[in-house]
Amino acid sequence: MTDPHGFDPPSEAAGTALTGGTDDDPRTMGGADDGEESPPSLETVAETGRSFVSGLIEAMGIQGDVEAVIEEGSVVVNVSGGDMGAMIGRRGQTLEALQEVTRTAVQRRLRNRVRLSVDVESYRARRRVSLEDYARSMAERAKERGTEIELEPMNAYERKIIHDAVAVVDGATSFSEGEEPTRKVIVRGDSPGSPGPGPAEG
Amino acid sequence: MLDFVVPWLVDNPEAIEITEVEGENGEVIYELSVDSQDMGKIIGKNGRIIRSLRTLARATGDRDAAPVLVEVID
Repeated sequence: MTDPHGFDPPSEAAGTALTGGTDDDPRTMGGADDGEESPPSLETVAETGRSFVSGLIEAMGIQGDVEAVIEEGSVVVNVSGGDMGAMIGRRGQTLEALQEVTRTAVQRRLRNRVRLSVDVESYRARRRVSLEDYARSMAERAKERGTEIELEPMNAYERKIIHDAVAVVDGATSFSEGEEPTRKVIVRGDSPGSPGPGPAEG
Repeated sequence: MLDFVVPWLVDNPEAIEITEVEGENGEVIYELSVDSQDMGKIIGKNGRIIRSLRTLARATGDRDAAPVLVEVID
């Protein structure tokens, strides 16, 4: 076996890895030793996240495979197989809830902030690509017309994807307007040849 | 589902009580009670945690489209 990353565990208390604990009983971790947190390794975050999501979907009566991978310094817990529509929900709402609860559960267990996301059947990855395409085409359209285009409500994560995609289109900008949960992105096209908004011609 | 999740979220799992009751219109209501110190942990900033728990409760099992509610009892 070769480890491509040559991962160095942090040099604190080597003998106290979490692997000995039972995943099923959070009480074993809820001891009085709060504070004094040394950041958990990504491997620990991954294993804790995988354990939580496995238990959660089982408790929800959903069959699926759960794996956790480490990507660019953060952990992605992926659920696949079976009927995953229920885990995604309308416009990804259930997936957002799953991620929120998972991240919170892992942070409370490890007593540290963690970088962790949850995906179901690569929904996030697919949604990202289609949102980016959509953002670019809206930016082009706003540019051609020199107007603003209001997009449908999106959550913060999706709005960020839109802003990032619009930002690389010359002559278009974007901003958000309204309050959650109906906060939405406005894509603004600069009029051709004139720097500011406003009518292009009198 | 709540039986599994809630102990992960609180400091005092001993104090968790979850009661399932039926509402007037046949909806399922989970009454959730935790240590008063843990109340904020279950609700979360701006209610984010309790809202997420409600969403997950609705996605749990086949409830024949009966609404599922999660209420926090003081």
